[in-house]
Amino acid sequence: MRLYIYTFILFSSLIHAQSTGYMGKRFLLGYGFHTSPAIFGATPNNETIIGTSGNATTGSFAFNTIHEGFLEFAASSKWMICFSTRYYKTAYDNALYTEYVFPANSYNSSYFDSPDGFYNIRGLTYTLYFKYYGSRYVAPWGRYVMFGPTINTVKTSYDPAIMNLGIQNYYYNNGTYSDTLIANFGPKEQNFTGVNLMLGFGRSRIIANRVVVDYGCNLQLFSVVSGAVDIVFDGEDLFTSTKNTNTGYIENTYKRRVRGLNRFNVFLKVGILLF
Amino acid sequence: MIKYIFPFILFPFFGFSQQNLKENYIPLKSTGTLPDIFTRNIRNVIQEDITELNKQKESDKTLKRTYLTEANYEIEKIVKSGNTLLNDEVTVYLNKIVDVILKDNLSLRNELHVYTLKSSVVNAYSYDKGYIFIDIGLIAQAETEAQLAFILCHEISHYTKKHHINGYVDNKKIDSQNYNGKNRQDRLIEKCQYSKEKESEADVEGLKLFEQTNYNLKQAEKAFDVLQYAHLPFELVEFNKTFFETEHFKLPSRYFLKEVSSIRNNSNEDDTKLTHPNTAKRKSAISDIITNRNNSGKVDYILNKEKFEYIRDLSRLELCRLYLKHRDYPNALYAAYIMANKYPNNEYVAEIISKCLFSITMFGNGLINYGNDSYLENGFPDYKDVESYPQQMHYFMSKMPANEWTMMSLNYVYRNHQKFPSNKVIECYSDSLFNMMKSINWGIIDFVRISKKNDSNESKLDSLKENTTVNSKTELIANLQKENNFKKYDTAYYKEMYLDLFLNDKVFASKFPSSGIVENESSSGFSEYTLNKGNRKSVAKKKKHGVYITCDNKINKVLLLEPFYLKIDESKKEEFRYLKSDEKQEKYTVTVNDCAKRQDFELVTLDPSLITANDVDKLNDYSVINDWFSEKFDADNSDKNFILNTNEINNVIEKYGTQYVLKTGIINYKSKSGRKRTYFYSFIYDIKNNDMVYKKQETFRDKDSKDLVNAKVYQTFYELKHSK
Repeated sequence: MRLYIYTFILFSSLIHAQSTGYMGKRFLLGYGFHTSPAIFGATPNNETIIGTSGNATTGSFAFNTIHEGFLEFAASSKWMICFSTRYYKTAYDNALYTEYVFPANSYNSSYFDSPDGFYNIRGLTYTLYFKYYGSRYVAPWGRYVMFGPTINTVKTSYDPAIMNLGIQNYYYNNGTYSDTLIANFGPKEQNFTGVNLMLGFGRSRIIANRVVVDYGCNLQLFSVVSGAVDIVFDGEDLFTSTKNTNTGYIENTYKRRVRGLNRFNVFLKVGILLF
Repeated sequence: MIKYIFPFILFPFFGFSQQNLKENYIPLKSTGTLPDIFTRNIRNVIQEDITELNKQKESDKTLKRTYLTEANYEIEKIVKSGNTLLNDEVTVYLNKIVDVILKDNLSLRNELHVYTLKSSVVNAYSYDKGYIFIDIGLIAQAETEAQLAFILCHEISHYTKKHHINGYVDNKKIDSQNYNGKNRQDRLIEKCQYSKEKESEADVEGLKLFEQTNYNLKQAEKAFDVLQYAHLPFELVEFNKTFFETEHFKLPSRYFLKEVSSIRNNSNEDDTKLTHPNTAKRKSAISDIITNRNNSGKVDYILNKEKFEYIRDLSRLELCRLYLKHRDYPNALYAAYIMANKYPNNEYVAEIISKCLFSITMFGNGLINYGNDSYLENGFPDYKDVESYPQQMHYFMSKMPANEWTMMSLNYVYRNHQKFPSNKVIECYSDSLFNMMKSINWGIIDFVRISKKNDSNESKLDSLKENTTVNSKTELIANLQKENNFKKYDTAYYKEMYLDLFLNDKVFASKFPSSGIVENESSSGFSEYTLNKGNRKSVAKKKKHGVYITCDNKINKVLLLEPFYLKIDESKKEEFRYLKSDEKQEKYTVTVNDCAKRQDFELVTLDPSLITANDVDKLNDYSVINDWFSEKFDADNSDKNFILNTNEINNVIEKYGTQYVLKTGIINYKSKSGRKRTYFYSFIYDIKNNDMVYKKQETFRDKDSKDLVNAKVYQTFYELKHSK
């Protein structure tokens, strides 16, 4: 399959000398920077655009940041077939949301709470997307809309020294209490995968017939929907289990942060028109 | 051998061998090496002028700098329009008159550059840099060499008195002054007052110059009469109805006016809002001066009377063509009629009349419409609005029904074709008129149905009649209806107009529609207009987003005609950014060529901005194509207008190897509030078939960035290259 793709690209690039696309160039390789205001917990210090730990009066002005590498191909003067990989690194601040943890080995716990600290999130988002340029424009120059499916892969990691939960267990059989420190939230590194649908629009300009500057905004549809649901249902995450165990805590909570990051971004991309 | 050597010996003395106007006329063309004004980069010229201005101690330098920019552009546009004639017989003659006027002032003579403008307007123009342009229309009207000399003296005085630049400064000052309670009208009157003062000064100063020559001073006075009646044709002759008549075709007198209206005298009109004083005032001022002058021994002709008349005839013949270019068929027909009386065997005149008859036929059948942008924006003038003898022709045109005009035109044009059988243009119009006959549902049967006389030929007519069978009931009804119409309107005067042709000319009979039923009628009403036919059958293959391509053949090569670029910035004092526009235009030409090259698209550039001193032919070619465009857009429906004035277009097609001409350009506009708009267009015309085959025009809410320009131009060629 890969051979066919390579052959097709080579054929259309070299054999079709007078090809479609801006000045006959149809391959674009570049870097993109996406950002959005971090409304909730962008950093391990729990800094958000609104405030620290939900306190609206304090806190730093924080932004989500995503880095992207992309390859785009002008299939016609109006359509581009594109592939991109986005990378981001963030953290999930356990203090931001009250996600109670019920220890897995104790059903008679008298005390439960959110863990202290945070866990790290690293994400790679693969997107196969299509750009459609407006009637007067020629790909990759001009105004466009884009859409395409994305695969979000997420890798989480935590440090038990930072992220832990101290709880007090009461034992009915002997009437004693014991303090327990829960620091096991499953494997230190966990991998998750999800799908989404990216939509966006933008505008690209071309400098010196070679450098493409592209700016616009995009969103991930399911993230927007879930965000709306979150608002309607007062933070209840309907898409995850309602009861967290310590080992399932990360699995149940990482999506909230990942969605927040991918929900809506403005971007600036710089690319080189290859041939 | 001597007959070959003789012309070469004579040539240095006469400069040009004269055309034999009794037989033909070859339209005026520029020749020789092009002077600097045609080849220099306009930005450098402006820069030099401004540097020179800055060195001088003059007032209003800011306004004068703007003037220098605008005036240089204006001159460049005139010179490179293709309408400016250089080293042709008329221009050489005008320069000889200037030589006579300034024989004692060589330094001034060397500052002047006199050119003829291919324009039907009766006017002359002078610019501060010594460029004087005289319209063909004015030369055609002049009565003597002395009159032309006086007009040239007037224009030279405008130059020596720097009227053009001072007039510009005055007008700008009036515009910029704060008028308490004065409106635009008041400002116009004040501007006109300044202008009139300058004109009067030019008259007086011109007369001083004129007095230094041996020209008859009375001719200066008479020159104002020429200007006074410039709206009338160059000669007033009675329109004789016998002109279109033949042995078997006599026009009814009801189509002819016996008495024509008198010529209105408006020499004393109110000139408050005119840039020139009325002619009565001007004439009176000159009369007052020359009354006491000694005019004895002064002559109307210093060079040569015959030469003047020859040059004037050249101008008059050229004028016929210029009228045709503007689709002013009544004036063209009347001018050609006058010239036909003088040169009855001139092939060019016969061709002009044939074109006029055909065009008026088309107009009568609704195939030519005039719009607001047309030279004749209201169509043919009402005969009541026309003065003197031309009124007869207008009356004739308005009274004769369209079908009768068609028959008469065919009669005249076909006989011209017999007279000039090698003239393909006349043959083509003749063939087209045969088709027009079909479209008005007339055939042989309509002309042979009633035979009043000519018994000896009766049998032949009967045989023709037998051959034209009526095939159906509807055909029979159609013929019966026509028969009733004959009786009702008594229009049978034309029944025998083709009699001799039917009997003696087999080709005529074979080409004539056999019956009154239309065969293979095209949507335009006639199908075989072969010379420059609009391609009615081509169907829009692509029509999307303001783009359409209609062409039966693939376009592989185009002639790029002077790309256009204009930048307008309302936030600047000089709204029209001439320098920037010129710079951008130069780059745009490079971009267009680059985009074509990238796609292996064959492109030939014909751009007057890029010509060199030896490219006079290119300038002439540019003129031919520009004339084509001028005629194309001088009617209401620019996509379907027929072009009739294009004899030389086939030479251009052959020379450049393509019949497709690309016109492309960009207009960038910035409003006072910073709103930006960029308009891009690319049109390709098939100058052989008189059709627009590619059209793309788009407006962007954006600046004219390089990527926008590149993308659109490249896309144009891409679409052409990949159109199916």
